[in-house]
Amino acid sequence: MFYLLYEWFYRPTGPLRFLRLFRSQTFRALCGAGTAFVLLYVVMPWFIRWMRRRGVGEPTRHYSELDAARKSTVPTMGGLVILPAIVLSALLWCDPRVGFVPVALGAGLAGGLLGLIDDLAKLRAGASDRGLSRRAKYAAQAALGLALAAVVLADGLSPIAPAHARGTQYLPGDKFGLYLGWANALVIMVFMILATNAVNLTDGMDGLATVPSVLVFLVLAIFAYVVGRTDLAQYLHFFPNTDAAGEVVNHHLAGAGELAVLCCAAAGALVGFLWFNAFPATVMMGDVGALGLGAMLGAAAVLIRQEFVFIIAGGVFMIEAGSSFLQDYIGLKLLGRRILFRAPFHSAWLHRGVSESKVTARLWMLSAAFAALALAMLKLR
Amino acid sequence: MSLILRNIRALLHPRRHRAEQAEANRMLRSVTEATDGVADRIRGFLQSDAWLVRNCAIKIIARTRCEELYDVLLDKLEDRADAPIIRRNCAERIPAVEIEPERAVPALRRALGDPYWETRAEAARALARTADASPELEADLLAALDGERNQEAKAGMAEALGRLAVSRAGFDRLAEMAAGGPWLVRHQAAVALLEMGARRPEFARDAAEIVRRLDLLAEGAATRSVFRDRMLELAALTQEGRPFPSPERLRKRYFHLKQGWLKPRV
Repeated sequence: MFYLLYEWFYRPTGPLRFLRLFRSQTFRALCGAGTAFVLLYVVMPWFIRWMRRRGVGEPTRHYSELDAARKSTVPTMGGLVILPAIVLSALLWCDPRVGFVPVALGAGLAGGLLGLIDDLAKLRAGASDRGLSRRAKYAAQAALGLALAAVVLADGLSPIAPAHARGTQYLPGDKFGLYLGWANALVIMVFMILATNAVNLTDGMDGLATVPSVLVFLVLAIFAYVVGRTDLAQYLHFFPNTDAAGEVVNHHLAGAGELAVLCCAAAGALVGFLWFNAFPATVMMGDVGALGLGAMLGAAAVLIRQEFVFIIAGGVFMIEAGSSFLQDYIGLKLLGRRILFRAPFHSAWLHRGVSESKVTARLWMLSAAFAALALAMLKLR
Repeated sequence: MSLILRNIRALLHPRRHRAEQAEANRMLRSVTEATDGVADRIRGFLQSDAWLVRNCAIKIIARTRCEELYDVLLDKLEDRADAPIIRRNCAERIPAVEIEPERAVPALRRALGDPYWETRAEAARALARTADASPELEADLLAALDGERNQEAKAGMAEALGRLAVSRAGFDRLAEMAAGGPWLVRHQAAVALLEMGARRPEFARDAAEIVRRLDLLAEGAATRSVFRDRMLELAALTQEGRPFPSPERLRKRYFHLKQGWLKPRV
């Protein structure tokens, strides 16, 4: 909205010339983060009181949660505040006409809706394993992934201007990437399932999913800003292809900078959420938050064609998802045994007697290291 | 390898095995006695390619106390070609169905050398419940502990040593385990020391002294320790508006000679 004010009323010599500020993506990104933070800070206490009055707590499985008695009294579904705060902040500070923003927001809201259905099913049954079936969740996430892939790959719909970038997977160490064409839809679908579930699996301790999500949003914001600028994208050799004369030409993604504003708004909202979610948490994000944020993160990475940057920056998410996969699918389904002591990864530490706050802090540190490594991929590609 | 192939075969025929699994689960929930036909159905489940169905069959045997299939529990405990979780569940259920010690104890002793850690842990616990306390059994457990690297198995063996409460050698080993290392093991060793003290009065003072020296509010201990459970118990009592019980009364409430340390009901 503020960007439109700039477009409509800005005159270089008029009294509203200060509106020029709203042209700056970095300024709007900071304002977006601040707005979302303030929204969370103001609304969340009211939400927590409201949820407490209704007696809505996190249904926990006592055999897997050592501290289940405490957690069962903590209000859940904090995502119901996080996602609207992100949407509101994005509407205020992004240019809504740029296709990247509605697509990423739409993916986040679709993920959030799936999580909300799951949360409500669990609450109704009063048990954490009585939500949507795994198959139903995967099917919905696959549908979301395919819808996103259709938007990214279809000529008339895609917000991504260089056509060759839509169907290409950019792998670390290979600037030119691997061109897959429409087969990329399959990769995007699997990636979205991975991203959504990975965040959800990490959300098992107070603040554990929040900080890695903030860091990944910030990494993606930096990448979105860089690939959205002609000069930086040229300098760092993004999206190269060869022209008719056989010369290598680098491209930028026009409008991707708006995604940086959105990512910063999401990071701000999550920092506001962390205010209440840090150990010992007074609210949890629930599946509505975890699946919504996972879908938004995944969609942002897909839209700027940096899925592997997400995988590196979200290394903690990958460890958590990988350990669960190893335990559930290789161990229990195929070998009839547990391979790891506990899964996801954070549970193994917890059950061995490391305190929850220490496990969380260690994984935050690990997450920061992964984020730094992902940022190095700006140059090391 | 044959187990993996069997599991893959089960995964390739999901519909059939889902129906079998649903039936087995239904039976596990609803059937409490080994009436006519139950044993035959369990035998049918045991032939399934899906290990989850075979696992369910083991649970049904224990739940219905189907005596004619008790040998299956003992056989499956040592069947290393089958899913390791099935062996663990056999070890867990052998004491519950009260198979005669002459049959169960040799199999459980051999299971202390099982390659799967959960089976070793459960076998140790089962031995302490099934067998009479004897120096030989304690020596077996101590020998198994010497070569044990897995924390969960160590915790199971510590629990067994406390329950058997045989000799000073076992007590000293528990004291050593309570002194250092991960809290999963330290906590269990501390509980076992207290249990040993409760069963054998000559160890009571030393056990109390060792446990008193532990920092029960330390990281890890705070989430696991007996101390924390006691605090929960006290909290529950105060919520009910009743006065704090004396330590002796609390101990009586909390410890049962046959069942060991009771979980607080909060």
